[in-house]
Amino acid sequence: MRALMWSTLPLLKIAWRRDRVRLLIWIGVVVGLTVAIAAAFPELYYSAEELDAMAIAMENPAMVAMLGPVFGAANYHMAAAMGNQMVLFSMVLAAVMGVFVVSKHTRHDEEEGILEMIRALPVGRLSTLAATTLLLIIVSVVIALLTGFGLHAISLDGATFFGSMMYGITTGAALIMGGAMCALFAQLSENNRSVMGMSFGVIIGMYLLRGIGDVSFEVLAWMIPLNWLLRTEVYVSNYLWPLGLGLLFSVLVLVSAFYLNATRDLERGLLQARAGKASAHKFAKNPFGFLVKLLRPSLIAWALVSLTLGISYGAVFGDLETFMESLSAIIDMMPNLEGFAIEENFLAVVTMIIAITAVIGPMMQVNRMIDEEKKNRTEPIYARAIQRNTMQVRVLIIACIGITINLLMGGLGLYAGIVSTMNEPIGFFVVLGAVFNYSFAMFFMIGFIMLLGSLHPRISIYAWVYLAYSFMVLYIGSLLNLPTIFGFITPFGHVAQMPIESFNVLASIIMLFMALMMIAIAMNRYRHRDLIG
Amino acid sequence: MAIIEAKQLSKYYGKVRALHKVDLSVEAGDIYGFIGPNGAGKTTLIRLLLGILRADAGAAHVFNQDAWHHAVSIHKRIAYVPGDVKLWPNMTGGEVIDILTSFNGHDNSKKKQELIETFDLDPTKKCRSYSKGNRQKVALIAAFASDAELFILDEPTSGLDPLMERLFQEHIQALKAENKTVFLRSHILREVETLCDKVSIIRQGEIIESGALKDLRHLRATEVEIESKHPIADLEKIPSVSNVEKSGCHVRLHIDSAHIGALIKHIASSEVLSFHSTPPTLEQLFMRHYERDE
Repeated sequence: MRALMWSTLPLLKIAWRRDRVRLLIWIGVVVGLTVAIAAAFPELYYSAEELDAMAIAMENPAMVAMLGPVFGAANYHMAAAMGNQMVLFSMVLAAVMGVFVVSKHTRHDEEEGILEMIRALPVGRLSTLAATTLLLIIVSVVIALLTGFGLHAISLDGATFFGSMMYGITTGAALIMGGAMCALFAQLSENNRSVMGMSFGVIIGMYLLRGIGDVSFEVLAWMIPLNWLLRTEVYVSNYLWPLGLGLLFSVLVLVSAFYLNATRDLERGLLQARAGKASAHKFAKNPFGFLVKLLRPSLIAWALVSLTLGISYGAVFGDLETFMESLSAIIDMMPNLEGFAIEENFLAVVTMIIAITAVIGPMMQVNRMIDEEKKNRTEPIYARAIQRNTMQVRVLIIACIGITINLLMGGLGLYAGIVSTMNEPIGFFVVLGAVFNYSFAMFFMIGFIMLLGSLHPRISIYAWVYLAYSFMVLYIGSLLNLPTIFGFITPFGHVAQMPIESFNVLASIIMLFMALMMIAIAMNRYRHRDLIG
Repeated sequence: MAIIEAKQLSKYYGKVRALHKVDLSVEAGDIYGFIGPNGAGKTTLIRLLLGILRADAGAAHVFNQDAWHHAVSIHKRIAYVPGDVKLWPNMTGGEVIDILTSFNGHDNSKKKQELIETFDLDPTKKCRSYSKGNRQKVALIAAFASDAELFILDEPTSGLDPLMERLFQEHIQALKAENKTVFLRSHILREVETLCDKVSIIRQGEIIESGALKDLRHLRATEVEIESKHPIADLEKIPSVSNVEKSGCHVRLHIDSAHIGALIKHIASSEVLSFHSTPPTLEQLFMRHYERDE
């Protein structure tokens, strides 16, 4: 065993040395967001009555599906409200971070070939995984402590020191869980893209399934490990046993990862890659066909994600109806309803989430040539008689097709869920309209990432920061009552909340125009700048 | 003493036979060359020796220890340079050299400095901006700076320019003088020919030829070219003669070197004007195997 783990500590030092900047930014974001939002909470609600009304609103199935079940509604103090509305968000963010921490030092390095050099040194077979696990645990402890003390410093009404620490520890446990699952997937697949894809898929899947479980299917809710952590009921009951259960799950996953790592060969996965075709299909022998072939897995995967997301949210609509019948009183308490049914209000929120998720794939697709450039793979293409913008125009077309497919799938999924659960379903074209309403904002994002990538490959990453910002502002911003300027600087903030509001023609035209401008500049720059590879 | 000893070593990827019953023995102080066409199993063999792949059958021993079970203690005494060196993009070359050598527990900063100067590497640059050749230099410097007893080099010069290639060869010869062992996989046959005492040729997962380079040459026909005043008759009667091409008084033929004496006796009376004998180059040995049954 000692030989298997030999040199773990030096490897941990290297991992920290390589990754410290990224890790510190991540820690800052995860801790900072949680603490900042907690600090803003007292600004939102003043009276106990307001909080009680909030508790009832939070028991709305749509809210339960998105934010988790309400604990301690009888005594819904400020801290309980914060825990209820924020802890799931912190957990998912931390789990995602865990995937980034682990995949980089395991399958990423192995696929790149860096691990081959390391393994030829006096280093144990399990040392890289052990060092990565240690790094994960250290980061998790740091996040738990910083979040705990940060929340304690804010001390919301009703918050105890123990409660604040529990919030931090629950977040840290989610980080370990995300990282542990990624460590397992890193043993299964030979390439890092699919390791990350599987990890995020499982996290998103857990999030959606736990929503359905918590709303209408208790057994399902208990089958989701991520949901166990939610049962710590931070600031309310502060149970310790769900933490134990969650950590036990993570330990079991990690043990299987270590076991598989010890028995498999370097640069191999347990899922073997199939043998491919010996020659290219006729269709792939022109730039458009070639790019479609490159991007086909991405197109299919994101279409499925949109469909699943649509169905998951659509399935909640039936419960909204029953909920409304039993508690008609709360309609008056919920803001922004003004004569509209709760379903329509919910539809407006859900379509925004679907649209933001559905634009991720197309943004990656339109950025494909820039990605290829970063990996030194454009030279063999551009050394032939192909103009640079020939490729750019085609990825743009594919991304637009991607947007259309994703919105269509999201809309169909949503409608399927609505029809199968509601007695008086919302009309098909109302749903489709509400979804496609976002296509202009999505097109704007496509233009934006194209512009950044065309200016310089390194800066296209900021388009993702911008997208994350948009999501944050619109998703949490509504809870925080942020000033309107925050919503103003994201295209998604200008989209009408259909079906509550009517289609915003002017905003859509402006977004379309700006997107076209950005694309024009992008093409001009991309044609004239130096390629890095 | 055998530094590397492989017996019936086999590795299969599903149905693909990467390595099949390979026997190999590298003695202390050997510079051992290892050649073969693409996909012959060379990388697999090296990774089995490094214990980063596990053999399906047979055994590989390095320093008389099992390559898989005792990988850590073996690795303390070896240095490895992969064919395609990949480094951490956000660290400098100098940092990487220090980190790699630190694992072997020696502080060789003086040696490192000398090597950086001879190989003309800028150690302050981030690895992401290094070319393939420069990454190769980083790995080579880290290897030469260590006090290893065995050097496993996987196409170490594939990205280097001819000048650096020569420097590399000088360093290998210096290692030989220190009685260190080198296991060298190379595509550059000229390099193997100048450096190595012993050679193995691998093809489709099997070692098809193995031994000292001069013995291998004896196995193959020497090419002989003769010009004489009178035509020479009955050449085919001399044992082992083949591929006779005759045009008047000019003859070209292949003969095993063991029978060259018989040939000389036979032609003595024909007033030989010129006699050229060319021992087979490694390239010819290699190409013969490469082209066989194709």
